[in-house]
Amino acid sequence: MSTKKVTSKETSNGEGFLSVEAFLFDPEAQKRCLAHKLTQHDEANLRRAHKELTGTIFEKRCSNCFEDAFFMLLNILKTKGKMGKFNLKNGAVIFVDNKPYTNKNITDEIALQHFVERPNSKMFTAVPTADEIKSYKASVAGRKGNDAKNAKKLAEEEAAAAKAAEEATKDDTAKDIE
Amino acid sequence: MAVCDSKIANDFLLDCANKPVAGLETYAVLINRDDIDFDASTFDLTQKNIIKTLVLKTGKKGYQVQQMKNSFNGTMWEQVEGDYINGTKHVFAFVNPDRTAKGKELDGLLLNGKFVAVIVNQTAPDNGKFEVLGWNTGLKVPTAKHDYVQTSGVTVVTLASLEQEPDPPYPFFNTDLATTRTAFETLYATPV
Repeated sequence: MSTKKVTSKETSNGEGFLSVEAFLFDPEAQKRCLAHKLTQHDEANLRRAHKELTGTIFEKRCSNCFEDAFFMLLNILKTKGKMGKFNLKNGAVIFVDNKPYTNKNITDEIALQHFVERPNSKMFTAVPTADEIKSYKASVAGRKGNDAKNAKKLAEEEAAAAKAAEEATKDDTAKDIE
Repeated sequence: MAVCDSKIANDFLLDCANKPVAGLETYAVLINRDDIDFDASTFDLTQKNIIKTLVLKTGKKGYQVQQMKNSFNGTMWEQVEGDYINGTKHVFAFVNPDRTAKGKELDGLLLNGKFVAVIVNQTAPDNGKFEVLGWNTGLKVPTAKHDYVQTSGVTVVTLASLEQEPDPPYPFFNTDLATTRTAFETLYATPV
């Protein structure tokens, strides 16, 4: 009996893995799930999606676990999107700009902002490298620079418009006198 | 040498808007004490007995315990006389209704573990709604019983601080009730 080596890019029956979005948003897969008729290929895709979205390995412990996990993952994908690099430990709540963040709404950018403000924070499962902090600071500075440029440009345009309006008023007054 | 004779600094008065009501909400959370990240967890700087952040170690989570009717009956704290310093005993009582093999395995795992419980008062002011039992010494199981005829088919468990806790249960509160509730919910969320 010949055995085919299964690569990480394909499931055990030789079909390719779908992207998380393609699999979970597929109406046919959703129908199969509701009808409790997930195929082996679906189950393999689901295991992979579970790892990608939650960072944990899926363990089948009950008869409906695949179906429950499918909709849990779909919900995660809709509300939070794919797992970020920086995730909070369970129980942790952080405040950035006075807004509370948990794993439900944290983004990598917010996490980096938090680390800039509190470099010794122990709330996250992973800590950014010095390079990541540096590039985040640079991108923030770049954005601030652009904002300042835009503000300057806007102020110049407003001043020019005000001057033009003033001159137009003067012309009108001169015409009225004539 | 410090003298630990404490002094009271507040009145004991009834708040008519928050009259005391007995009872606990349906869900509590039980955490393996070893899974708590004590370095990352913090107390409030002003009201020093409030646990402001209760953080678990990477990849760890707490587990929900459901109350059926009044199955948390017996949950309490009381003063205990110590040899040198007086303290408290915290008790969390619940039942395990899971009769699957997994549920029975859980019964066994309770016997030798050390836990911390977060309970939710049914009616309480915001910063007294959630309380943490067994923070310092952990709760262990002094009694667990499964009477096949008498106990409605459930395992009746009592977890208690067998060592002396220095204080009554600490309130768990962060900023406001909504934030605290979110923090409570993240305790038993699937870790990412």
